[in-house]
Amino acid sequence: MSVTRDDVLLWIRAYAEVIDSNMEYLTELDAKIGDADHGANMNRGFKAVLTKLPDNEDKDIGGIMMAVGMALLSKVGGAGGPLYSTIFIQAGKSIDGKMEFGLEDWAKALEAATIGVINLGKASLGDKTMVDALIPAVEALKEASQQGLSLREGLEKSAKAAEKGMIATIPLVARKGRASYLGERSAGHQDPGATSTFMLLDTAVKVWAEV
Amino acid sequence: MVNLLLVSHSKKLVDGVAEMARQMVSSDKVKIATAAGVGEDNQDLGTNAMEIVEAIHEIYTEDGILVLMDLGSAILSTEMALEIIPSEMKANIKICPAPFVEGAISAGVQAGLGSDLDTVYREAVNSLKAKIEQLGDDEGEGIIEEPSTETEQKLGGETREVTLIVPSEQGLHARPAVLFVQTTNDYDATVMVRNLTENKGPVEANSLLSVMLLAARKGHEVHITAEGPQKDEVITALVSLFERNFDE
Ligand SMILES: Nc1ncnc2c1ncn2[C@@H]1O[C@H](COP(=O)(O)OP(=O)(O)OP(=O)(O)O)[C@@H](O)[C@H]1O
Ligand SMILES: [Mg+2]
Repeated sequence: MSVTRDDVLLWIRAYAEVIDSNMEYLTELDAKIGDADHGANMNRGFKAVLTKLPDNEDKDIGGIMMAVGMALLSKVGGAGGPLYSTIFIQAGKSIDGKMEFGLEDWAKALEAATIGVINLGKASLGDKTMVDALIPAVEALKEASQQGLSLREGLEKSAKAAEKGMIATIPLVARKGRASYLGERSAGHQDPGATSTFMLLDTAVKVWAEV
Repeated sequence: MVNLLLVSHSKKLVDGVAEMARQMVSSDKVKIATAAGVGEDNQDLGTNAMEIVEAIHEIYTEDGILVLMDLGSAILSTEMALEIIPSEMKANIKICPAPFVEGAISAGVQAGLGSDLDTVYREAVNSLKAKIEQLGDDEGEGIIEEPSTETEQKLGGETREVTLIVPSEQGLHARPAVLFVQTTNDYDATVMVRNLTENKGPVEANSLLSVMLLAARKGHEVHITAEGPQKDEVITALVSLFERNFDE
């Protein structure tokens, strides 16, 4: 069982749609603890990705993901720009040269992506950022891979773990990013970046249902 | 000359800060590039790593670039941009944590004096201290750093020293301070200066900000020490500068 290049292209297109239809929701979350632009930022970024995708469709999976990362770099505007760009570039480097991948590859790719995000943004678990969704997701994937579970089960577990991590950001006080300027007042609201990260992994489960 | 790159979310902010910095730069050789905003004509608030990459290429020389940023993604985008440019260029670029406005102005002035990247960086970082001192904040007390062991060691060798009275109306501030720093920079010597009257310092005489923070006014006694190949020449030149009352 494996994810093919076409699956990856589908996932990226589907995520762009998810972002488009959740733009207001993400912006609302960001309005509570930030500058009310996360939805608009992400949407601007993934609109740019959609226009770049046709030129990159014949690359291997790593090449496609790196192209997505580069497209995000100049368009998002907020912290999500360099951070999501890092996710796609690092994951792409990790799966470079492949035309399909399995659970173990995906676990490694998402781990590389998460390490990239942490190196860039210096956030730890519990700082109320997308890292709070990424780390549990990576752990779930690695565990599933070690236990020899199917790709499908691994994907489902990682999305569930990301969702838990996302919800767990609610009571936290932000220590990184713009929300950290609010201090204690940032508690009680869900982090927008953790939310869009959950959506990314959740979209993978939905789109890769047949793998 | 060290060049400056200013990165902000706001085009308006960055243009304003660049304008303020340019007004202070004593040499038109210092280039100040900007990267700010996203969307159409960069009118939306945000930062763009690719624009930062382009701006770096535009002003890059081996003397280096100091990058000043506002906050959040301005920092992340700058770090991301440095990942993309060739590593031999990256080695000559420093990201600076100085406050945006004060840092840009201090860095511009210091770069205009022909200082190297490390000195320009340090000046910018220290720029907040001048403001803290002016506002009389307690935290600002004793803000002149203890000389590091490194500088103490530098002065461990044979030194020349002299005590002079500040002759200028403006004290060791403004134009006299600039001339003082320029004169020191002309010689191959490590020069330290202390305000004996106020018991401030010693500070390195190649840093304009540090020299100004000595708050040496007219009539104050300053103690200058020099070490290095041209220690005699630099002391002679500084004595002459004081005797000529900074050519006023
Ligand atoms: N240093 C960081 N490390 C990890 N994630 C971060 C960091 N800073 C911000 N984030 C994530 O980015 C999300 C906000 O993204 P958004 O696109 O709204 O950027 P922003 O905070 O408005 O950017 P800016 O810094 O330009 O104001 C946060 O919810 C958080 O999850
Ligand atoms: Mg925001």
